[in-house]
Amino acid sequence: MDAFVLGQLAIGVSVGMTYSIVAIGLTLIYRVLSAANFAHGEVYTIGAFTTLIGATTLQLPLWAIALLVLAVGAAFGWGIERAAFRPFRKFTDEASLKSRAVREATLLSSFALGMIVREALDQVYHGEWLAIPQEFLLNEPVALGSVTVSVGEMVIASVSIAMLLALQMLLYRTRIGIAIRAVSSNLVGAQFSGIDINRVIVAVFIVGSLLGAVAGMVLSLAYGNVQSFMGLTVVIKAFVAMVIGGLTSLPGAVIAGILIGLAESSAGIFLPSAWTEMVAYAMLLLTLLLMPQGLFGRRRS
Amino acid sequence: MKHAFLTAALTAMALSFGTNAVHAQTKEIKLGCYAPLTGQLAIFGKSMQQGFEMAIDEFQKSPKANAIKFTIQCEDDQGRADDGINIARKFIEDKTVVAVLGSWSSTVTLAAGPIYNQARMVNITPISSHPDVTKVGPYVFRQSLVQSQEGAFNGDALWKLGARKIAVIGIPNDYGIANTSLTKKAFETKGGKVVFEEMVRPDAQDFRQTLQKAARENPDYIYIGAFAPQAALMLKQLRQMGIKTPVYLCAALDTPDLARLAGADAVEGARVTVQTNPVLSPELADFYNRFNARFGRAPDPFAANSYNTAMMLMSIAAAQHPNVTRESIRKGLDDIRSFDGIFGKIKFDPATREWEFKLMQGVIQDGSTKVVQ
Repeated sequence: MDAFVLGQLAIGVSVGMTYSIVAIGLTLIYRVLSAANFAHGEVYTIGAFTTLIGATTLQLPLWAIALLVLAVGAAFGWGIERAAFRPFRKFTDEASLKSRAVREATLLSSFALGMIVREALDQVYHGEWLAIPQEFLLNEPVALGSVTVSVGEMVIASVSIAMLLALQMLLYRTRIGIAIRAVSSNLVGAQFSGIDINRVIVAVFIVGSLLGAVAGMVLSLAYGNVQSFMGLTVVIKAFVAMVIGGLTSLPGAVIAGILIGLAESSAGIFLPSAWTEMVAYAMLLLTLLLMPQGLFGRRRS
Repeated sequence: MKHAFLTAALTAMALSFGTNAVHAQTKEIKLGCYAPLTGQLAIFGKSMQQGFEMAIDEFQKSPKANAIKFTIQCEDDQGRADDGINIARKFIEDKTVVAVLGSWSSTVTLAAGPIYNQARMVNITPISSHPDVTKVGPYVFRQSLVQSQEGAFNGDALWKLGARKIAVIGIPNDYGIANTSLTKKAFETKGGKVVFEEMVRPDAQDFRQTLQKAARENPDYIYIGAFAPQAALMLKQLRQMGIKTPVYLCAALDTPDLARLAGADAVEGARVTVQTNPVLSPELADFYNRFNARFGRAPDPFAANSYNTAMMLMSIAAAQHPNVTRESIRKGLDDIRSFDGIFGKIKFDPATREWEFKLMQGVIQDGSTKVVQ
């Protein structure tokens, strides 16, 4: 293949990976609650800002920044569940737990929480673009045959795959994983078999948000710029990846993210790149029309 | 007890009226300002506001203030046309406001300008550079670099650098479109060829696909007409992809933000059109030092332009004291032919109603701009 085309497709895969890495945490939460966490974009933003503060104000080494990001992400996840999801699970009867009204309410409450966080960050930082210090950046070029990639892209790819594998291990090899899957497949049934569903849901939010914050860290180190609105653009693509991947499938979301990136870059070879923004949404529409369960979705009752 | 309190309060009020009367000759003149102070463009609006505030404080201390107390009221338009219009209505109602500065975005100025024009109150923008701004009407002014002037300079500079084929990358708003298309036009008039042209989404963070497509056409230069957040990413990504094509940057990119966001390595060697850089004049260098001392950061072109425009507006008002009205400000701006501020002496052309700025070409070395030629 032409080196130019190969280069363009490589960019597509790497951009797609950025959608995937954000989609993982989002999909995990959807899988359990059948509700989208619209504050996930801000989880990602918080991860990026924590990285920035760790690298500048606190002058921490990279490993300590990573620990801080994990802690902040986990705490924020717990906070989202407490503030935007838990209050709507007041009643534990089957009808309320499965109610559409509750799902719609949490969609709006998480959206509101995300807006509050975004606007607060905007007030503190005045919408300013902030730079991660150069020595932390992962943008050294690496030549792979005729294609040049950066260290950051390889880190994004490895972290996504590591997240995916770790989550699969967690879901299929641990006790809490069994509980999560039980809650995910039948909330009421899980409750009747003695599972503390609130504990499981909190765990899911902590894990999902921790992964979202790590995505924010890795992407801010790869691109170098941090801003209060950064979560918005990225999370919309992650939503699309989640839906195309089948809403509940973690590998599905990752693969769909890469496919979206590839489709965008393939279109970009022929079209001005600003037009390729439509590609992801065209794919979303086609998926909803032709394959409502997505690429890897399970049929739901 | 109640009575004692009332008496004390009344006495205090009487005293405060008394002190006011002493300063009766001090006239207060209020200026309005609208700029994006929150939202995605807040970084630019904040620069404007700081430029205005510094101008007001410094003018107040100078003998030119002529016993007038200047104040400014800044309103947030969030970069939105409808907010700009609402703010205009508010300022027009407030009879103490004599003239309004703003906005940053041409889109907002073009929407609010007609409201000011109809109400016969001056609106002067130090930033909005869309060609149509000064065509709104006789009450809408600007004192900023116009795109046609910058475009002509850029096209010429690129040609003189030996470029015969260029790639043009811009952002699709009023600024980016006018900037890139006028640069392109000037370069083509010289006989140059634009081999690649693309507008990118300003909120994207990965521009590599566009950059790789541009490099494939083997241009002599890549011209970037965008703002610092996007241009910084582009420069970093060019370096990351090992693309060695030289880069020419629009005047809005001669800002310390670029090297701060992209890192000194990525901006090294880039050519840039220079309008407000401290290297241009001792006055600008001095302004930079004062701004830095006050706000703890170097000013960008938006802050420098805002400062200069506010200074001009206040010197017109102060000279008219004590007969300052909305109409007198309009006349003052019409009659002015030159202004000696931080950019040195710049001239006003009453036919086009535009100001002519001095432009130079710079090259970025070790993170700061050096003027060449």
